Amino acid sequence: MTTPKTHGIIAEFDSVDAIIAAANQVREAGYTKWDCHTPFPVHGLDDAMAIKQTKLPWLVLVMGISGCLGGMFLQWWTNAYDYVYIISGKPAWSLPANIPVMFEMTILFSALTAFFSMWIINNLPKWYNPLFHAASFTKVTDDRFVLAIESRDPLYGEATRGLLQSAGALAMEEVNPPEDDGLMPSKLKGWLGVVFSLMLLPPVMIASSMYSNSSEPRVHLVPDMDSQMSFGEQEASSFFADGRSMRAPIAGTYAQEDDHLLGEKPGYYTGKEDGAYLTALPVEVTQELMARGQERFGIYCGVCHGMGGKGDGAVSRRAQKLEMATWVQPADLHTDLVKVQPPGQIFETMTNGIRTMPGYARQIPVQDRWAIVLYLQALQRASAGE
Amino acid sequence: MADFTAVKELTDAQLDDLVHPPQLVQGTEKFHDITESVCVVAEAHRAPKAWYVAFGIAVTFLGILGAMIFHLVTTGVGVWGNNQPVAWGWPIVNFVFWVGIGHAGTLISAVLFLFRQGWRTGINRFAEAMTIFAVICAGMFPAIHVGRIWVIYWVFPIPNQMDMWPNFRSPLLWDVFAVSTYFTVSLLFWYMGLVPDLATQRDRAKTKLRKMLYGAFALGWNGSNRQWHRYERAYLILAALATPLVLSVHSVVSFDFAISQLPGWHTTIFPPYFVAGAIFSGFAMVMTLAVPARQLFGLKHLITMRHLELINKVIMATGMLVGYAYAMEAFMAWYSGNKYEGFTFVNRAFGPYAWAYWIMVSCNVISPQIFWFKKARRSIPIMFIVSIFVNIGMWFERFVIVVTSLNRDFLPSSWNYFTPTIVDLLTLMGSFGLFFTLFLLFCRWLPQVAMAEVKNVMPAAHAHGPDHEEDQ
Amino acid sequence: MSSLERSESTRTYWRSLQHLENSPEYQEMVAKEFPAGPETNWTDSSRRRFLQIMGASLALSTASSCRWQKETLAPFADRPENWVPGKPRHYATSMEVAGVGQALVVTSYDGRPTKIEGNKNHPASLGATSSFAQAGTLGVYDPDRSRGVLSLAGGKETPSDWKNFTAFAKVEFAALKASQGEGLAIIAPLTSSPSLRAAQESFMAAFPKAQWVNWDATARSQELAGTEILFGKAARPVYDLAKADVVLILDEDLLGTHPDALRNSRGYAARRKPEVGKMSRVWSVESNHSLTGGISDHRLPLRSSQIGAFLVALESEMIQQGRFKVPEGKAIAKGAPKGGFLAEAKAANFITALASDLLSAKKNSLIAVGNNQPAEVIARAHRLNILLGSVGTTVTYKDVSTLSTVDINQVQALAASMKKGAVKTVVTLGGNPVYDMPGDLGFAEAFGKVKTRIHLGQYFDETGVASTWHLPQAHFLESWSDNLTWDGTWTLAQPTLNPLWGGRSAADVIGILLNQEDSHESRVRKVWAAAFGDGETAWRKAVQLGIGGASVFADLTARPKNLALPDATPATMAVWKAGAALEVSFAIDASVHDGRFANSGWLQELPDPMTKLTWDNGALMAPSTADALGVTTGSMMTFTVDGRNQDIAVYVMPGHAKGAVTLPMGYGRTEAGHVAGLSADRVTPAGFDVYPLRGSHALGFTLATAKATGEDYLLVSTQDHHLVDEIGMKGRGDRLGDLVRTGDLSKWEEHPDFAQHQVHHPPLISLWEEHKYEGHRWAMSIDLSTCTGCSSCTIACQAENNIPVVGKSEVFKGREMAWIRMDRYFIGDDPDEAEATHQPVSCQQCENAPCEQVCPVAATTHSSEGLNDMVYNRCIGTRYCANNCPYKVRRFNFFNNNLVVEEEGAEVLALGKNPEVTVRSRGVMEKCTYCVQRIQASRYEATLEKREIQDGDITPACAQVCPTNAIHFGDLNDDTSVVKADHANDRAYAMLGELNNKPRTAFLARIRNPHPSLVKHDSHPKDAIKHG
Repeated sequence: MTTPKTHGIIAEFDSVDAIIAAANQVREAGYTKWDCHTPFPVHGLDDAMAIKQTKLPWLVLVMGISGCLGGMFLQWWTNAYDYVYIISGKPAWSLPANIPVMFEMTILFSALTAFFSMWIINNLPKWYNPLFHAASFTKVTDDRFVLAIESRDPLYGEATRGLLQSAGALAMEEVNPPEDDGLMPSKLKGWLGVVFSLMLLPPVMIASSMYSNSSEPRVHLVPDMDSQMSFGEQEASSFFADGRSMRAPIAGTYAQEDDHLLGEKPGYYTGKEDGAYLTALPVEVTQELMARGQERFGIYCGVCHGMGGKGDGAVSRRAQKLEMATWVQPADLHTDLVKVQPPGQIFETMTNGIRTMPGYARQIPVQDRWAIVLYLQALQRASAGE
Repeated sequence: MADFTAVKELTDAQLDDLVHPPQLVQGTEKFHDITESVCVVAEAHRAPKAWYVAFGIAVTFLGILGAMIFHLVTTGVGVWGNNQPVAWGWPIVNFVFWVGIGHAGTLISAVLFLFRQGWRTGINRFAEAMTIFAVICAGMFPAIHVGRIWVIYWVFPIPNQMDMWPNFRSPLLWDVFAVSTYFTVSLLFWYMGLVPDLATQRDRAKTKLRKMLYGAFALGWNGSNRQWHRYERAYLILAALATPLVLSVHSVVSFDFAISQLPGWHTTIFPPYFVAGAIFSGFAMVMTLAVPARQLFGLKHLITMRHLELINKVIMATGMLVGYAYAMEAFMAWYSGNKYEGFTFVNRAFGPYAWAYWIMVSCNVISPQIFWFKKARRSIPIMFIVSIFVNIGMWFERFVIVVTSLNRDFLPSSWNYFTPTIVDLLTLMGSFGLFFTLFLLFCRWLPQVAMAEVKNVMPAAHAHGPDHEEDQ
Repeated sequence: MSSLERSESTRTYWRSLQHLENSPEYQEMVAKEFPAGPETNWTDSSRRRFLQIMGASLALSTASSCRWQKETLAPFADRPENWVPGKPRHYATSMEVAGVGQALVVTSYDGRPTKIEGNKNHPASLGATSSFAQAGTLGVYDPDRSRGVLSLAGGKETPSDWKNFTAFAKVEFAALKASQGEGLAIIAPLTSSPSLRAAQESFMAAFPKAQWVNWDATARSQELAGTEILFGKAARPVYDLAKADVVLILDEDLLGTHPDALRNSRGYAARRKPEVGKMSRVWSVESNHSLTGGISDHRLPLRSSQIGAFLVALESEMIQQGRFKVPEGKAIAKGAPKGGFLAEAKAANFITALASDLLSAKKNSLIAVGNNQPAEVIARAHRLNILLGSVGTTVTYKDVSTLSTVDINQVQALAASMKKGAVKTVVTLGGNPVYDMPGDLGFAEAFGKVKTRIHLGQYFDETGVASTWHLPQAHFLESWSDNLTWDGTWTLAQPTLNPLWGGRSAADVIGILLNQEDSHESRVRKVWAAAFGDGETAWRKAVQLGIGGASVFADLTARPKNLALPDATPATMAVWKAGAALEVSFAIDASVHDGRFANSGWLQELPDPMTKLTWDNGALMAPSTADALGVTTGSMMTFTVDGRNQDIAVYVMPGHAKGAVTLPMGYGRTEAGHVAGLSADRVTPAGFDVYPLRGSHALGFTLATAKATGEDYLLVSTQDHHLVDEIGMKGRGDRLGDLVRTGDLSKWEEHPDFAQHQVHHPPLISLWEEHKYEGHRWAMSIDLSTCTGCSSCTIACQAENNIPVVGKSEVFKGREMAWIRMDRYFIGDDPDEAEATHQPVSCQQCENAPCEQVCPVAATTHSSEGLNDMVYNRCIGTRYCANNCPYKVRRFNFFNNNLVVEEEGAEVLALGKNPEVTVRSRGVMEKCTYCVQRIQASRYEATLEKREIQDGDITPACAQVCPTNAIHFGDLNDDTSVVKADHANDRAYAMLGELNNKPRTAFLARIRNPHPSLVKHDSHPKDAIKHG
């Protein structure tokens, strides 16, 4: 910033009346770049200096209203629109309950506006003011009244002094700030730079962690009830030797859910009666059972044996396509080899598996296994028919 | 080494005349006296011994507060006496107590300013400071009284991926907004008033550090009349805003109780009753602080007997308002014919907590009556003691409201007696530690009296002779 | 206004004695600003009683790091058939208490028992369970359980194992076998288990000279003796209250601590709903103020020793009223006792009315008598049943001569021979004789004289400590077994968990002693097969249902030839006067039975149904008695029986018989564990041991002298944590009529909807259009007419919902956590004649819930089905909701009450927690959720089965356990639902409904059925309750 050699001149007064009188004279003389500095707001000086009313109140009004509406919107959006709860059977949106917050928001916005815009309009905080170089100026905040005319004023000149003299100035002083003045000291600049860059660190760190991967679980500051002092399904537990919290059922015990283990007919759950395979289904044959069987067959058997039981299931076909050496073609269920098998044997195969086929006891409840047997028989007959 | 005794020899009456002369006195140098006697406190190399003693005690209790809060956070709310059915115990009592105290400051600055009560200038600065420190203490309690302090931020409408928003039907949430707004506005108001005085201190500063600090906070104020013009306008607006705010805050605090359906809480008289109580307790606290402060820092010619007497009048008036509220509450309880409501008030006055109720009544309603006598109004010891009584009484008022209503509500099966623990007690004392630590720091380093404003109401500050409305 | 209505209004309600007191010292106590008590906040958190508050250390977070915990899944490599991880399975099993089986169904989550319910299909359970059974899941995971074999030879504990013991037994018992068991004694707890009986027989066959002594502190030997007088053989009365119009209960807690209480309660309830058939009338005459006394229509407090005289007086009155004969002829009428208490108008009127009632009811009457009574009195009481012809209708006598019994003479003999040193080896197969033997036997000392002392027990308890070998016993959830329920139904028990600490059952141990190796399962099956014939399918069915077969007891239908009884020994007729000796009687405790359940935190903290005491027992006595002795609740007294002293704190029990003191057994354990008392860790015993006062010749009641020590003891109850002053008492009186709405039958007949007009209030109109609930509207109804106050609901809820135990000092502060609390009020002008009334209160799930609107973070909101949801994870703990809840049913975690799980050795507790309910951490609010997890479970099930949820699909824990079915739950939008019908019932009312909070839980007013001639008359019209 380039300051003129002389910033201007200040005249010192010792009473309210004096400064007001002086102000009037200076104004009448037609000066424009001048101001009065007083230890407290002097009533009447505004008129003497012909200061126009500030626009501040209007600004506050506008912001106040927006605060009010903002508060209203905030409450409507959060409670009545974005996420609606049923609370005490009350309506999601009702003005009375929302007035307090709206009111507070109004006040808050207005107050902040009044405060900050006042400083801004006054163009404060200001790092530098040449007047501070005037020795006598420091008394302004104590008990002296000062009138300052800037050299930028077109009328500024020798006459100025005289004018102030006649206005009854106790003392006058020219303000001559040094050339390089008004620049921020480089030391301070340095410090500000450091502070600023430090302020940048947190956001940078957050950003970096957002866009980088880590094998660690997420940071979790409020674990309160997320890690439960109980054991959910299949959870691990150091308490038991096998590291499981899950305990296998005890041999010989029967839960109420285990109805299927209590079949009436002998061989219901083994497929055998005193060593020999059952030749008839131990369950009542119904349309439902057949339908069930078809469904289950499709789910469990079809994938390998094929929907038609021809051993051409999707899995098998893909395995062949990939020419997997170890793949054993699933049995075609229509070969005599299978056809001759009594239901009991098919059931047992299903239960315990055979060759590379695993047992399905776990996945398929007994009743369903019999259903599949039934369906398979039907399938075989059907294909025999064609 | 500053001279605190500069103006001590003068009698109160004479001091009074300094600020409120019977008729025009000549003396612009008076401006300087003001500056001198206020700034000298902060510029002194050493504060009076009493200050160090007081500060030591205050900091000790502040430490205790810290320890209690640590114990609380690491252990659980159970370290307090709270139980079923008294789920809110001392923390809320203390909260309401402090918020109440936090009302006088803004009230004095704002309301009296709007009514052009010149006499406010002597006391408004540290009344405002007191407000801010009291609100800090108050705000602390709701924060630490919750079960999971570490998620307290959930009460703010912070956007989050789960779209979990606070519930704006809850009076507690209104509280969050009211108290934080109140704190912000009071702070702005206080700081704005401080700026010109900080500038004064800047200009008087001898050391570089002081120049720097005061300079920074003075924001480069240079007393330009154009600045003064907008400054006054903004100050007026803030005052105009703070006035309804001050009334709203304690009303909202009272909603915490009035909105519930608990017998003894669920009543419409609460908002005005709470506000009156707040002013009452606030002024009492101002008195409690002003008396020693003016003694200590030789500000008798600024905080004059006339100020104190006016404060006493306010205390007496609001005390009677509060008394009226007590009576009305009881009357309405009886008149409503609601058996639960009725029981609550009988229980308050004659139940297990009767002792608390009668402490409240005697401190708040009876003790201020002494101010009917001018002698008492102008006697330092009496007014000091009464102010202490009122502080105690107002704390018990909140205790009565919170605890006696809760300890016996609808179902007798859950009735239970509330017993505070040592932690409760130490936390309350700790909050006083916090308050006085801040207040003593303020007294030591900042202008306790608004110099610019005092100068402004001095006769010499007026171009056309004395302005008669000033010395009413 | 009829006299009946006015009689309603005479009720002054009050909850415990202090309310009727106005003594100056008492007033002064009330006036005390901060009454003394364990108010010491942080100091007692350092106490080592592990379920009390833990220190600061871990409180802040349960996770060690500030990152999400890594959780690993540990599935089965080979999943068992029909097993879906996380899908609960249910196993029928049973437990045995004092030789009576209880049929149960265990909910097993991933193979771990997490909840116990009653066995719906079982006649002795009908789906309900006792509190003891409910606490079973906590019992099996109790960290204090004995964790291995201990050898204590030479007085020092050395950890050992079963192998060592087996080796030892081989040698030891080989020697004994040689001497045919000379000097060998077995002390076995009373059991009905057929398999154990078989084991016993084979054992006695091997050691014929051995002494086998059964002992159980609560065995009903007197009853057997009494019935033997009548029938010539030991019989067991099985009652059917559902058929009884008039029930007379003599000194018996028929619905409380009686072994068959569950079914009795069900029967009682069947006749207490006015709209369902004729209401029964219950009369009780008793010394203690028992739960049963509390619900009866008429109650006459009498000392136990006067019951006999009362009976004779009753008989003679019936003779005088005619149409009634006794074998002794009219003579008895002349020789009938007179004067004394009979001279009092109350007793006289009582007897007259009762006699006429019994005579009119004839075979539909029922007389039940308690085991504390002398055999002759019991015989006389049951004879009355026979004479009234009620045998076969309301009561059946079962021949139980085959059951093992406790023969006190054997016990005395054993103690004597032990003292003499004649016993070289003693084996205690479970049980805790060193603790619970009668004091006069000096058993502990005698026990010490035996060289080899082998103890089998779940805990290293008093007996264990005094033994040379301690063997860990398997919990009933860990072992196969069988037993007979009260009615003789053969009940099977299958394990639901492998022994956590390698425990074995009594039968296993006998196997070891006999050096045989067959498993317990095979024994059980063998015995069962012998009785009902074998067969794989049949066996599997029996195991699955838990029912082996129908009752094995034969009914005694034949009328005994000679019913003449010797003249009743002239009992003391005199009304008790100050200075006379006190009569102490020993009672089974509702929480810890005889002490065997003492170490269960749930049970210790479960308030006693009548006293509401937690963590303690007390010497219960009548107000007037206490006044005469110059003591009050909490004063310590030294009781002396035949020179044996014991200090016990007094609890003043309204309605208790004058001059009598009731001492609940089972407290003052010194080696129970960290809950009930453990000398090793300086855990002070909970309550007072009363066994030292018990004499082997007078197990029921005896005379004692008592002297106040001048000290005070803090008894902690969940109601009246502190004294209630006169104002409180008055306020309570004014409102309780509106809270617990009660009416006599006649009043109900006049206007059935009196309950709905009890409170006058302006029309309940809303300012806004209220929320409509489409779909389901879950609701509950609680019938106060059938609720007996047994408190099983409280503990069932605790088990289902992972509700923590907080410990005595926290309960004292009023921080108990029970989600459903049983409010108990005493009614009446005269404390000595007080009647009790109960009201279970849990979250009422208000539609306009006051708690919701005040929560700043919306942590409690309404579900679309009208549940008042509590979102634990959102809760920040302002506790505002609790303040605004008019029912005060919200509970706050003032500390982390579950930290105990992180304690060294206590991790096992986590296994028992219900994984479907969040374990709440510190600083959050909690409350009843209507068991929302069960609602969800049924919802999934219904969805999978592509159907709607049916009424009855969902049963909250409290409703499921309720022995009287007083609690119903369902959907108000389902017109067929039971709960809808209940809400439409005339008796239905909403407690505090005038607040327009629209509770979803409706109470059904309690209807009492007093005898017209005994209806009290109005004395204070001022307290009149308004009628609509």
